[in-house]
Amino acid sequence: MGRWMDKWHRVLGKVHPWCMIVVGVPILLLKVTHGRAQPVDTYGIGSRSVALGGAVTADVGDFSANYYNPAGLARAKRVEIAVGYFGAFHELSVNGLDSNVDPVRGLITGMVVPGQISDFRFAFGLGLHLNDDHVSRTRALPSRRPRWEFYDNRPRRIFLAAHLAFAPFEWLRLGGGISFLSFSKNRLALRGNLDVLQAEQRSQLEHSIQNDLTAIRYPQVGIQIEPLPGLHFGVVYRGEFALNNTLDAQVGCEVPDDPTCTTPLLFTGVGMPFPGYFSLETSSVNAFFPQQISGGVAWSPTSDFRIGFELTWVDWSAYVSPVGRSNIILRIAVPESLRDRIRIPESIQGSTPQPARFEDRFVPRFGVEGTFWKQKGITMQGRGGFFYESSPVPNQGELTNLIDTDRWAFSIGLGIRLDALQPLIPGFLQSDFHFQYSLLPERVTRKASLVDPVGDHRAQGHIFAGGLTLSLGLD
Amino acid sequence: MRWDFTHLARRTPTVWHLVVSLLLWEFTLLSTPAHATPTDLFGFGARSPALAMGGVASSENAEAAHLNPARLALLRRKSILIGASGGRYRVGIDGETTPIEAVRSTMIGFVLPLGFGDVLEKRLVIGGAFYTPLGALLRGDVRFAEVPHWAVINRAHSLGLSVAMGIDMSGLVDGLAIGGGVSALATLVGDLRVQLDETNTFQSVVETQLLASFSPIVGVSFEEPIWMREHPSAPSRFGFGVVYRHELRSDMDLKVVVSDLPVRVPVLNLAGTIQYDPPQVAIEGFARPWPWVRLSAQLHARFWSAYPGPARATSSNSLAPPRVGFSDTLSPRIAMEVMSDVKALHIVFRTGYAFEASPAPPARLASPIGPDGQPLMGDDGPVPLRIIDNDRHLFGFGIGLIAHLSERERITFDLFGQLHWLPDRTHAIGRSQNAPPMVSYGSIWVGGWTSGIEF
Repeated sequence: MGRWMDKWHRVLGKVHPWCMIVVGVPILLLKVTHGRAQPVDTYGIGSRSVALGGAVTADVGDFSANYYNPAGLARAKRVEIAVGYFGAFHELSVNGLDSNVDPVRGLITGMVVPGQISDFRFAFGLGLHLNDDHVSRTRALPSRRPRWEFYDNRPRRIFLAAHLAFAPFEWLRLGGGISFLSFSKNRLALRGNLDVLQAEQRSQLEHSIQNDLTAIRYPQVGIQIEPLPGLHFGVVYRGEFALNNTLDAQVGCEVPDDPTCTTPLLFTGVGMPFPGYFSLETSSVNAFFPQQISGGVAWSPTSDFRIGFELTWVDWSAYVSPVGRSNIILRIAVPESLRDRIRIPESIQGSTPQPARFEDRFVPRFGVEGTFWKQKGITMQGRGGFFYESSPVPNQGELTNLIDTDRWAFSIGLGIRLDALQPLIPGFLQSDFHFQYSLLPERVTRKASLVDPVGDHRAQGHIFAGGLTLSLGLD
Repeated sequence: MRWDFTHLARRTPTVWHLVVSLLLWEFTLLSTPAHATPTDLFGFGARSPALAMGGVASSENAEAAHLNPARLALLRRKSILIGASGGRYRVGIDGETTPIEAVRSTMIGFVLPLGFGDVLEKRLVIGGAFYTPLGALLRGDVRFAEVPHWAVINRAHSLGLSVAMGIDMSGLVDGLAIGGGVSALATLVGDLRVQLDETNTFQSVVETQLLASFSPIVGVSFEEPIWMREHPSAPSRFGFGVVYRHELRSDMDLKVVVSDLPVRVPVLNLAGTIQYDPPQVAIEGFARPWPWVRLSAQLHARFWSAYPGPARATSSNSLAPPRVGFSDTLSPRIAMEVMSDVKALHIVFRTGYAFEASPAPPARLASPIGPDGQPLMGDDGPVPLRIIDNDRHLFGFGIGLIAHLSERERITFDLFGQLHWLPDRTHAIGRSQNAPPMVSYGSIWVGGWTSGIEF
């Protein structure tokens, strides 16, 4: 596998100059990147849209409009229900060692329900990406621990969005709605007896839990304009969100003789019991998603050919450090006779997050689609797409080790549409497949300190993603 | 006064309707310091709560995704439903009001008949019912056993998601429909590790996962076949429905490992059941003695004896709280709807009553559970267990308006109110060790509305 990867690196190294000619000028001018906070933002949704490199803001009209541009929902002429499956597999390494970043796999589904009352056309849409293993996962790691900031944990959460779109005129579509996420706040209290010598076997503890799973609703609005037949423009705005998970654990009474305290903690097992108090507060921001604006154009000179280009601005400078904040207090009134056996430090240092200092960037996207076979109610389309994201992460020469590199993503796809399925299906049945390869070229991080516990490191990798979507259109 | 909705429809009906709905949504959510509830306590939508949570045999909109998926099969229009609800708890113990935080919620529902042809024509309908509290989507409150806690009615902060499909079996058995779906909640699992890092600084590593927990719903509905009616467009004169909802629960399981402290700490298992709806079966029948009146009656069994209780043992050798000892309940419901037409406006007045027996025994002394799973006696027990709950008399009332914009398109608006009266209950123990037996009591007011577009 490694030899094959090296070969790919050499091949793509040769391709780079050619890529620069085709799409490189705007990249050089704009120094691009893209926000990646959830599976949909990192890998896209819907096989057709992913195969087109995500350059669909101007003319998307299927269920993936719930992410790419909700205004596109109003294009639907019939009810559309889609279901599919997606997988992404990472070959990411640091200093030549596999980083063991878990794959992301999940179900995607969505629907578009158009309606018309009098002359008023509207549509309702739902989109969902649900990972196989969990609805979401959050992970707060120590500041120094190296982690692939955009691939290790951030894609591991649900995408759920509901939108409404209107078409006040034939050439204008407007859409908006909200996406949902949640974060947790946990308050724990413990009390009882903690045996110093046989903690596991003889401790008698009780706990109480107050747990809130709180909703975040972040907005998304979009517009599509079709000034001329076949020429489409689109703009979409996606709002910012951050998941701030907190945990507050209190064990024992802060003031040992407080008569109102209901959570006493006594250390037992070594003579007279003695009181103790332990407090832990942790707070960490997970999956910060910066606000972003994407504008695109799509042109279909014929009904069998379509080309699209898009540019996305991402407000990465607002990025909040994912490093957790923790405060720890430990007070134990150790008896005089035990102080040589149990030494309590005067204070225990917690952790404080370092500013991330990410920068705003832009992402160019390009996609092309052509019909290559059309006969007897069967239409087959081929697709290709590309986007480039330079890393927004600054050099990690100090304490933190947020690993990221640029990303070159290439995608291809195939669509097969069946239109002659009456009487059972008075609409269409469409299968879309896609494959996406992402190259993460090597990035070298040099530490400012010669005695840094992590040291200099090289990061690089590949991501292979693929999926299929089955769509059913019904009148 | 002339109700001319056709004229209104020609102008900007949907915009008007949308604006009014959104204004009402904002009004309900901003102005009512209400205590919203999960669907198992107060129902989903506005029609069913007005009928004291009836509608298993007669649901007519997206409420069916929660009430009885089979009823979806009989809906022929696409529809979108939005709404909001809120309420206020006034419950107390021994003259002292128990503060329970207010919560407000939003409701979204949809119905989507699938436009297949041939043998599947007008047979399959999918629907969804989403109930989302503002603020906390899911709140867990697992307390020490001796702390008074309204464990049943304080299941308020919980998400409700139901997606279902109904299948019209007409042709095989005219009037029969079946349906199935799932409800979903989330379970929180995780690890918290506190340890020294390579720079001798304490660091916490937290990893939590939300796992989806699904619960099936299946239902059957039968109503008077069209060929038995006086004419094809006449409403059915009788019908019944049966629904089974499986146990729906949300757990929390957080393991805490603390190392490198001067004293050893056992692995802490901070676990509990933070949300629980028991397995349940509801059977309902309705009859129309006159075309403008619909009467319904329901028996609703909840198998609360399966409830494991909220808390778990904190470490491998710690004692677990006493068993809660809940028992199964059977709730009767009766409801009435009176209909009237004024021009293009269809008006429905609704009312209902239900008796919700408490599954919880009175607060009492009970034995904690040892590591071997058996109740402990002697020095370690019994201990006070103060889970508080009362019987509830539920009175529902409401009004529904349907305005026909055309033969196919219509808009709906429904309002409901509910009063839950909790008569006094005397428990076996007092609020503190030597206090006289405590008395719990209270009332709950709930209100809300939904508005929909059918097309």
